[in-house]
Amino acid sequence: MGKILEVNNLKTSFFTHLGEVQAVRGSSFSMNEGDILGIVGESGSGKSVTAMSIIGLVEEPGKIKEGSVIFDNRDLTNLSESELSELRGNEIAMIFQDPMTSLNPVFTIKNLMIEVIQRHTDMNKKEALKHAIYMLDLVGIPEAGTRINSYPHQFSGGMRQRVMIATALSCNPKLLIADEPTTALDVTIQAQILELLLRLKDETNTSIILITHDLGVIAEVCTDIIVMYGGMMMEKGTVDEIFYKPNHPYTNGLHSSVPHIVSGKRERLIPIEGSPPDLMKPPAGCPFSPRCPHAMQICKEEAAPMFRLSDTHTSACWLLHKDAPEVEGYIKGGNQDD
Amino acid sequence: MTEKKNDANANVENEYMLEVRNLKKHFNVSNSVLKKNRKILTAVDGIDFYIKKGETFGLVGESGCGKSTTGRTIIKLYQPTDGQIIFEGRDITNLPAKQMLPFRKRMQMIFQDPYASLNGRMTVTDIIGEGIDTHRLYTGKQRQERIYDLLHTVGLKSEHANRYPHEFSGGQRQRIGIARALAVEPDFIICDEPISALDVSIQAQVVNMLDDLQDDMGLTYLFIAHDLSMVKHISDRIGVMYIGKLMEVCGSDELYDNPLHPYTQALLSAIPIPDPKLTRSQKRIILEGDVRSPINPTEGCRFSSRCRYCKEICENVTPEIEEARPEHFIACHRYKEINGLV
Repeated sequence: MGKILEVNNLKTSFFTHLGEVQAVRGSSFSMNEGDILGIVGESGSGKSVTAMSIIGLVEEPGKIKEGSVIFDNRDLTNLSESELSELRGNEIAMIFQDPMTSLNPVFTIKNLMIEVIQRHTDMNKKEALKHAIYMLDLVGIPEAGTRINSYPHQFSGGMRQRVMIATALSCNPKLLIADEPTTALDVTIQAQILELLLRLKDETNTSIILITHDLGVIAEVCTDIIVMYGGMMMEKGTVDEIFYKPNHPYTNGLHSSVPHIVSGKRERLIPIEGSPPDLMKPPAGCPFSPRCPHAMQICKEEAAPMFRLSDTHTSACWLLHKDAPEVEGYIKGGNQDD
Repeated sequence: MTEKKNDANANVENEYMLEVRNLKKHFNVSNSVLKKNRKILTAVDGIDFYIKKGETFGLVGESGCGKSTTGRTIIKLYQPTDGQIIFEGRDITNLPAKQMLPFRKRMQMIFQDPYASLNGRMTVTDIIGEGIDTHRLYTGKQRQERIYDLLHTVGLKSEHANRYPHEFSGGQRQRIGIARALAVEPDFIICDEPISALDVSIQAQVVNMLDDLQDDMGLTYLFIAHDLSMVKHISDRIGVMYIGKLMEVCGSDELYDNPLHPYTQALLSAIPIPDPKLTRSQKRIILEGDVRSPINPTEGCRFSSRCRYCKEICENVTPEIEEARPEHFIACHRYKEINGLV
């Protein structure tokens, strides 16, 4: 399995009238073919902007300030707009949170899908239609041959999201970026969509980046996880590492603030006190330090580097430094990751 | 279910905060004036339940199932089409506005969207003080003291009193909404998705606060939400709704341990569990088929179009809600066979 994507020290800011909003402040990660990478974080943590930066959809006044995005041996941050639009929908596809607003209401599903397919392949209209119907069938739209003539408003939310997925996968992309694909849907429909994503991944070997705030969805689908907070990566590891051996106070805080369904006694939730940082004036050190129960002096002054815990597991917390005081539940990290 | 409670009418006053009998709320959504073309959206179509004093009753269901309409009808933001709303033994269904006023003081509501539910042109003092003025609870200095007290109760500071809603984060706004509800010293609060617009780490703060307030003030909650894990966490008893009907009502542990209705079973199995090993071993029931329309519904179980146990009777006869076990109510023709209870 080769490396499909490598993001190095990505920094994206929005230059607004009120000042610079530092949405992403140095993300670095890579993913292999066939991985499902989950990016989890709260609103404003920079998870969507990371995805938008990868696919080159950061719009004015936003700008990628620094860093590179290597996809298929090309640095996407250096590509021109026309080169990028050649890539988008073809090699990298994206599905958005809101299936209600991300399909154009004045076109039929047929128009929408054929346009995408013809844009990126040399199929004629008839072949494209056949392929579109095949894709709709694949995502479980009943009577795809007739339903393809419908307009988006004639579909329910779950079906619209299926249409989005069918369109996104119609050109067989190497990478699919799904930004909160199930957040707007009901749980029973969410279960259908997640199952569909997993099945399609197995059939097409597409790599997926899944952005969500829902730890349950992450646990169900992903192979690897990045935890983001205040525009920075807090922890990164395999799904088992992040869930069973979390080694960052923010990750721990997230775990204990969601209820775990157990019968019998009602356990009190342990919330993270305080509120997320203002990215216009981010805290000098670790963005989580104002809310962290273990914050030390250094946390307020300097953001922690990524400490290595295993080949796949890294965490940006000063508690992992060899000179830090022992805190129960936290293991000292190995070599610093640059 | 109704019959049983009629027998127990004698002690209704003491035990129940709220009782809802055969509540219906229909909306006319026709775009034609002709009667034959009339389209009636049956948002809530005959539901019965009760809420005991001091407990939290959770109402769950997917979008469009009528759970919010139920909440709004109980507090009479909508006039019910049919049925009865009984608040502490008094039928308030048809009370005129003036006589409704003392009941409005005792019932309050917290809304889902902390951005839309606070007037952006009012300061926090005005927002919280409005109810105090309407019900003439405090004036002058006492009123101001009361507002500061309320702000402290919900974890805000006195200096926040003169600010406007846009100066606050989502979680803080929701706290203001809660302070507004508490201002008139209610006994019963309808929480309509109070946390679904908030971040995960903030949700826990608000849920814990609601819990503490209940302990301190003996409040009764109707907690409306679509997030089952949170509802399970906060509720004593839970009602599961599906397109205007209650499918199952029982204690929250009972619901999670012994769900009897096929819809509840599917709903529970669909919740993603934040634990990779558990979630991999979980057997998921994937529902198929389309959701039945709530507009001009025909007879039959509302869930029949998606139910894997659907038989002819399910499509043609609407099941009545019945008591399967003590305090466990269910509306399903075939629950006994499905769950091996015959």
